[in-house]
Amino acid sequence: MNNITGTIINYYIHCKRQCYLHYHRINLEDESGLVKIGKALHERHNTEEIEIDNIKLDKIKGEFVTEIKKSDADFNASRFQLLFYLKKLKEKGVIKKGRLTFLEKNKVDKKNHEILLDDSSEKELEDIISEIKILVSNSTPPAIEKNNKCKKCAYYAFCYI
Amino acid sequence: MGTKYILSKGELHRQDNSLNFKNSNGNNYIPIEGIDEIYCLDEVSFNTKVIDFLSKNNIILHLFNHYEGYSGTFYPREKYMSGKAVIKQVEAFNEKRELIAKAIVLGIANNIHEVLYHYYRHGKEELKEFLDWLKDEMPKKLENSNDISEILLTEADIWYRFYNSFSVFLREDFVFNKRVKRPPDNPLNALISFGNTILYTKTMGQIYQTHLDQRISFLHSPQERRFSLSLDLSEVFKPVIVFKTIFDCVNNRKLSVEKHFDKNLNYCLLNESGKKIFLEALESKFNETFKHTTLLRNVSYLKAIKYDGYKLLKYILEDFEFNPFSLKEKK
Amino acid sequence: MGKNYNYIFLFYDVGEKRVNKVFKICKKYLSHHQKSVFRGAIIPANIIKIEDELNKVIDQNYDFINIIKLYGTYNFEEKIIGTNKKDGESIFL
Repeated sequence: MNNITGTIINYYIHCKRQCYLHYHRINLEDESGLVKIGKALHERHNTEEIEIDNIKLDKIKGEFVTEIKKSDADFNASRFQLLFYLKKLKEKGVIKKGRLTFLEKNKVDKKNHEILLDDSSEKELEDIISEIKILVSNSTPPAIEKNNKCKKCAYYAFCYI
Repeated sequence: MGTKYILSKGELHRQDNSLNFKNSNGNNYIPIEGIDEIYCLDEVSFNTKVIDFLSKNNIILHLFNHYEGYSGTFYPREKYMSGKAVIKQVEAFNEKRELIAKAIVLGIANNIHEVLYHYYRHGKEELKEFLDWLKDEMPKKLENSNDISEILLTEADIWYRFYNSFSVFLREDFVFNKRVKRPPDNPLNALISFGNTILYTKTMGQIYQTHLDQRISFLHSPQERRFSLSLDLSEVFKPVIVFKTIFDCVNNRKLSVEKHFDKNLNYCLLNESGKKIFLEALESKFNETFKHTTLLRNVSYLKAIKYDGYKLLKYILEDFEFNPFSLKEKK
Repeated sequence: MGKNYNYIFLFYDVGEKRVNKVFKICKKYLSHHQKSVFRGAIIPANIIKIEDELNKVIDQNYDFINIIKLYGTYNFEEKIIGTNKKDGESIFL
């Protein structure tokens, strides 16, 4: 499970094809203007990033681990990414609560969301991880599922050309 | 994002986390965040500090001698590495080399057809025979070719016939007898050689932004040059970018044989002002945008080269049909 | 977050002690145009970065920086009177 990262979890929920490609290091994030804007804003709002093993945490303060996102475009993907970090910390014996902070809110009602790693969400996360392992072991990437969200994706040109 | 062409003698320095090119005009600041390629077309001095800095910023440095001859490229450490992609690319070379090579040759023919059809429509009926050959006979011949040497012969035939067609529509003083490369012997050969080299280096810069390995090529033999994939992917863009720009510069009298070339007994090269006019025209062609039929957004010709890299990558990874750039992708 | 601006003009009036710092930041992203004017094509993410970097070095109560953002070079016209000895935006050096 060492080569599974928070980003891989996030992508799996968001788009299985993106997850597969990123896992196999066909990473195209640097080619996207939107991703670059996201990174620049991330730096503006967050100066205390902490790296433990393979995971990058935006902020640990008190009982909370905070994950900062530019927008709430895919709430569930962000949620599982954070749950993954909480699980990683738990494995190290550190029990924390999670907080998701969206710099821009469009879909959800508030900026800050408390995320807890309980038995049911931990089970869900474990299922996702086993599904990812099956997905990435396939010899070819999953087919393109045309969707409106593709327009904003760093992989858009790759998929649609 | 941007390209700088250094046409004067001077020194390139790293200064305050950016670049400074010092020449007889004094300091010329080059914004490090605003460029991704530098062409040195005259004597430029630099040290390893600059090279390291360019590498960290993913900037490619192309070096030329004073006679428009390409001497090499400083290519930063690969920013994209995918073991899976490399393995698949090698597999594709072993298993599908001919298929990819044929797709490229067909792509060249299609784009030449599109470019020449314009002249045919405007009264150059002599072109009809060649245009028909490109559409009928040539594809059949290509389909029946079984090995790479036959495919390469067909490719050479296309270019040969293409050069021969120039006398139909090109201004008289530029028409030439035959394609002569190192060194070019007349103005048109000088333009073709220089234009193709610029396209080759620009393609290298675009492949750098993909996960493809520059060394593994399909139409050209991988032994041909260090970065032979760039030779492959630049082929279909030659008619569209290099030749369209040449025809425009020649027929619209932007370049003249007397004013813009240095001619010697056995070679002919663009002079300083000729180089500027031609490079400026090429650069604006690379940056020209069109609405793409499947992406539904504006794409520059330069980006289209990178996207051909994506197509090839998709072909080798997941067997998507590989159709190199065609002018028909313009909406 | 604003729109996708891709071209900016940047004018600054800052205290003598900070002129050099501001100049250094600007020349990383833009072409030097006139004494305290920079301009050039810039990706939206770098507009955020240049603003953040400048914010850190200036005196908020004393200095004045003005950034005009545009979509590109096609939506304005310019006229030059006199001579510009060095065009920082030229593709040639």
